[in-house]
Amino acid sequence: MENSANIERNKKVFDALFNIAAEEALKEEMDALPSCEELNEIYPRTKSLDKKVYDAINREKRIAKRKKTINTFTKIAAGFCIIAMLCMGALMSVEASRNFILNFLIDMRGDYIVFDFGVEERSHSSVGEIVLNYKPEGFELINTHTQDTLRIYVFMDDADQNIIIQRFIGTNFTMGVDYEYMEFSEVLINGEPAKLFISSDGHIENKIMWIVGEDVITIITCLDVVTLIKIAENLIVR
Amino acid sequence: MYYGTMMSVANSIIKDHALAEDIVAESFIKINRHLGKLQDISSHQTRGYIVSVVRSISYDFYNKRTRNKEDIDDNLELIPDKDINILSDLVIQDTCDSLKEIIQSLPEHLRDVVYLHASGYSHDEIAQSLGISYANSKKRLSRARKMAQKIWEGEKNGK
Repeated sequence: MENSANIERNKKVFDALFNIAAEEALKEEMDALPSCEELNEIYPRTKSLDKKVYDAINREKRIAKRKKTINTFTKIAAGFCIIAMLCMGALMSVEASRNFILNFLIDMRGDYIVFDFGVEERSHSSVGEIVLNYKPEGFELINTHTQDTLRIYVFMDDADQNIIIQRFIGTNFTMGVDYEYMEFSEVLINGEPAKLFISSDGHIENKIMWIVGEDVITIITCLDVVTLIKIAENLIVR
Repeated sequence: MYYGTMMSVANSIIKDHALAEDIVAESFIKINRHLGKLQDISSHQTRGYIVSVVRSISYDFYNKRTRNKEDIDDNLELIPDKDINILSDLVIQDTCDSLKEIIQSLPEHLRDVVYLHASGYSHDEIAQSLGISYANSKKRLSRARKMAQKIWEGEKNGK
């Protein structure tokens, strides 16, 4: 232990003496050189040397300026990239969150509701017509259409408001109803349960559907619900 | 003030006046970077610093001209660490004088690092001024010390 302490001390002393000797050696070597004035007389300043020095300094300044500009641009670009990424992240997270919630709600509610009306088939050769015992003022039958087991009756007034009655012959089918922006409820039409769809934004037509005898009837109209129910209650199906 | 000194050092190595002017111009750039460190413009430390920088650049130019690609740092002799016995039989002034002469006889590339380090420059500053790496600056100083120690002990044992 004592020996290593001695070694360490000797090393430090040597290093200190070495530094002192180095300073003295430097001083001696510089003193041995001719003086600055003598050397300046032997090697006077020339225009070419001055030009080379100025050119070197200017070149150095240009390089430093270019480096500084590149650094600044790089920092600004990096800053923009970071900001853009943060904004995109925020937007995407907001958008993604909104979409998730909307999709969740849509999944819960469903886009449409499906009604299964049963399994009864019926020949449509013996099917009669429908009669509207209550027809709002101004409405006239303007068109009927038959396609397989479906009959459609279109009533319209002068203001182009319409009442569309669909008669599905037999109950052997299911129907999907898109009830987005609609409120669904069940009512009784002449003692029979009916599915009522009321428009919640006023842009979609109100709809009612129920079974009459052996057929399914739907009434679609832009008229108000009270009128719709009155039409349904006064509909005769032959 | 030091134009003549710088030209003298450069010319002594490169032996070409036009190239010496180029070397002086390059040296100005390097010295300019450490102007803050030069406190006394007329001190021997400042002159020594300027001489070291010019000498280093001159040797770079010389080596490029002679296509000498040898890395002098690779050829430095490996000197193992040894114990130093100073306090037991030493007159400090004698040792100092001996070391001074030994340092003055060291190769220039080692001597310059020793001078600059003794003048208070860090290895970073020495490396930038002489155009060498930080590791080489430390290596040269270490080898200079060991070489000086080896020579000094050889002289002491010879007495």
